[in-house]
Amino acid sequence: MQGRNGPGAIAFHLIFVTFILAPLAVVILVSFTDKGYLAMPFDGASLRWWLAIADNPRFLHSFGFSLKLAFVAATLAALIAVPAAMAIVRFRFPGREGMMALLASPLMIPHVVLGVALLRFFSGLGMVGSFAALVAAHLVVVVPYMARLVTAALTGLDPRIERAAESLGAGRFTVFRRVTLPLILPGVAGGWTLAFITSFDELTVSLFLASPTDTPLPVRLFTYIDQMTDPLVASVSAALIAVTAIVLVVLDRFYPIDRLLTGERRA
Amino acid sequence: MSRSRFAPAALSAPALLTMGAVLLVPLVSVAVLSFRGFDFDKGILPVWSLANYAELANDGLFHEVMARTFRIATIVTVLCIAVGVPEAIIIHRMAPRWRGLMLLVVVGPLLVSVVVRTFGWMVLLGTNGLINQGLDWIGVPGTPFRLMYTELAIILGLVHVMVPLVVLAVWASLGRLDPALARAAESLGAGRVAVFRRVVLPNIMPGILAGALMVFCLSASAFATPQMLGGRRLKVAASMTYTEFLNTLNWPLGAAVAVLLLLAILAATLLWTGLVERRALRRLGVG
Amino acid sequence: MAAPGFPAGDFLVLDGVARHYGTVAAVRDVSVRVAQGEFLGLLGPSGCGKTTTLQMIAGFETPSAGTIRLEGRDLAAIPANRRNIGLVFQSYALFPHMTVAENVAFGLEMRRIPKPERTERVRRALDLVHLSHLAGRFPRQMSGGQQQRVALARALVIEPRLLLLDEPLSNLDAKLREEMQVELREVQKRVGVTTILVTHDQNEAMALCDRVAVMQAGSIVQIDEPWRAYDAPADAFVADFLGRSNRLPVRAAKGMAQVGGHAFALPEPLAQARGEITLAIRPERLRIRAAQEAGLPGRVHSRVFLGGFWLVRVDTAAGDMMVMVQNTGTPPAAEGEAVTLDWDPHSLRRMDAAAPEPIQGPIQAPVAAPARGAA
Repeated sequence: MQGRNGPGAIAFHLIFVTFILAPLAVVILVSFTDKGYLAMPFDGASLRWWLAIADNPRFLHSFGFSLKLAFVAATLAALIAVPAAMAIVRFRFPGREGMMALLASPLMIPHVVLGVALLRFFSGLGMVGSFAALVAAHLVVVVPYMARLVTAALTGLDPRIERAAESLGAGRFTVFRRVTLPLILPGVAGGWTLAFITSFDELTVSLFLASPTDTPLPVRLFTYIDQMTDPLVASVSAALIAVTAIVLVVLDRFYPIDRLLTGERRA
Repeated sequence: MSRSRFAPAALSAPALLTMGAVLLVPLVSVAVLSFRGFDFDKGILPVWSLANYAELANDGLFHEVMARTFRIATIVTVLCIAVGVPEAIIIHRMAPRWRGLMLLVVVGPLLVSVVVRTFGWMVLLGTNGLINQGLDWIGVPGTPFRLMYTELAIILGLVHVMVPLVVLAVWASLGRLDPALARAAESLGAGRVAVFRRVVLPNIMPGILAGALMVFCLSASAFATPQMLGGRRLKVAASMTYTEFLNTLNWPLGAAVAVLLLLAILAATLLWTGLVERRALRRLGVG
Repeated sequence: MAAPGFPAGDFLVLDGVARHYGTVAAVRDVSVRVAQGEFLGLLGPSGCGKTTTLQMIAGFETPSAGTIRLEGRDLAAIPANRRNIGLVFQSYALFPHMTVAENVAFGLEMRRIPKPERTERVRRALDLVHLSHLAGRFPRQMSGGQQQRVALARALVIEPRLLLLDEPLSNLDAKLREEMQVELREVQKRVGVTTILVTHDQNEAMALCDRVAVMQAGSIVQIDEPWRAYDAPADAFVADFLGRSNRLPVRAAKGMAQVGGHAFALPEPLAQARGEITLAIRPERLRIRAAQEAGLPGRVHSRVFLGGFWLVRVDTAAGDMMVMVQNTGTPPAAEGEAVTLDWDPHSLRRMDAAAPEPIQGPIQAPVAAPARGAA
């Protein structure tokens, strides 16, 4: 596109960025207050509410639980999405379109609907509150992201490279392990990361399935806010923002965020 | 790799089985549930009836909730397009060293939990929140305003949650645009406005439309933001479903609300892709 | 049509044009005069500054120094969309959302040409490139060659004062490229528009252009008619860029030269040379003789059949020599055979940096454009 940004465009951009960052900034500010209620730290700052996180084992437990849940869900998603993407990209078969639609469909289904459907399903199996039920639910939620990035990576891979390996005597599994997988690894790693973050942040579906003891962090936070809003929410939220920011900056070096989120090559 | 007829089936099987078991079966079972009866003492009744749908059809509260849901979704979509499209273009025009950073700043919040982002708005919009304090400080009469638990609060929060998606979609289609196109148009005598209106806009339109659809669907089905900023009184379809299931425990009725929400979103999607996107794609010579 | 007040050879004048990006100079110093109706090639390897030069003429890059004048008027203050310069891009840059006819009509629309005239001119432009039957197609439904012709019609329909072609044929396969070269040359002749072609393909430049300007590292090394530049390259770079060239390191004294035990007279322009010098000779100027004849002795290392020619590699005391032998029905000397190489001394060019004077006169000798029909 031609032209540079004029002063009007720069002003618009600054307002936009302010709008985007303001809610995150106030959360961080409030977390440093020394008051017992939500207040700015300008007339009294302390680390009181950050230290309070340590005194609140339920948040710490939820944090660890969410990490574990996200790790398992993202890994399982990779295990089922990579072969599925291979089938979609490398083969033409009846039902291929339907398969693609099925893998992408959880993106279009309201999470509340997924939540009630899975609550009904797992209550029938007596599994509500179990780790397995949460993993299965998160798996469904994150598979579309995984499938999209792996499909994009495979589409960008010249199939002749695989044929070359085959012609040199490699068996199918060897071709996959030695040639295909290393070449699509950035896509798989990107998909895994996005799946991990999505699962870690997931609230709505978990709300229907989580047990009161093993509660993912977003659910813990949501139900806590529902009862009361003290600066502990702010410090927990600020900690989450900080962790996400660090992950984001590191991640962007290896896998640019626009490619991560759109599955496309960078402009 | 393409010799075995069974290879695609074998490769697809794990995904198909998982998605079938944990997605399709539950969706069908919730659809079935919506036709069951309910009694506060006996729970779910094993009958077949349209009673839940009939109840919703005559329920003024439900109509209000659905109207609010789609009104909010429409406003949020329009705002996100109005703000997100120019922002994507502005970032795209920046010098490369600013571009990456600004994209990170604008799109990065997508990776922060919605609960955290919405909590930020609770702090901003509260009676003693930063916005009311600011208005009071510059001397606006009538402060504090009641900002929380209003549709305005829900809309603000949702625009904040959704607008990065539009920026991202438009950004991606700008990246696909051959920069030589704008130069070609200019060499043929087109000014800045004509270049944008006649060449850039038609080519990024699919990105804009896809972004709009995504924002509409996600806004119509949003739960956390409307629940946290709208409170118990301002219900939307998602929070109504939640209440029926977890508070009232009338699962069949909640299932009916869920089914209607899903159908409404599916209908909107089909309508949108059928009427609008196909026309835009045909303009690009692919439809 | 030439406006009065400037000579015919000064239709387009670049004077000391440079373009710097920070401390990097993409274009150092380009000066060239182009006659009306002339077809000039800007030829050079990638990164030599030829595309940047073209973009400056088109108005998409601003020169850091120097002036560009078209018909006597300085272009500096005129934005790209007011220059009336037709441009064909390497990627064609066809508008993907418009049909062929809409693409071609775009420039006319921008000029607010009324619909009936527009339709007529689009029809004529498409006729010119033999695409009238595909007017309703979208670009992506067309082959590369067809897209190329649409891009040409779109640039020509606005009746530009100048036509700029940026590697227009590089995305086509070899056979199509040759066909398009002929077509491009014909269309340019018929329309009579002054044209500048940017290319890295010396065959394309030589086939199409009245003159070629060979560029290296941001400057023009030589401007000449193609056959002259080929035959009398200004330096080793031009010699190698325009085709194959053999090197003969010789010891020169008193008008004679010696190499590998073979002595021969130096032609007139080189008669004054002394000491170790390097001469160059084109493969087609070398002749293969029987072993016992006078000349530079050697042994055939390999030979490659190219249809019209054989390309023979001969190992000699002066190094490997490539010889191009016309195919006359009998194969030339076989591999391993002893031969001698012989040449007309006038085919020799001096190539080392210490060349006392350029082989031909002043590099920028103004060359009148070949006579043409009314432009």
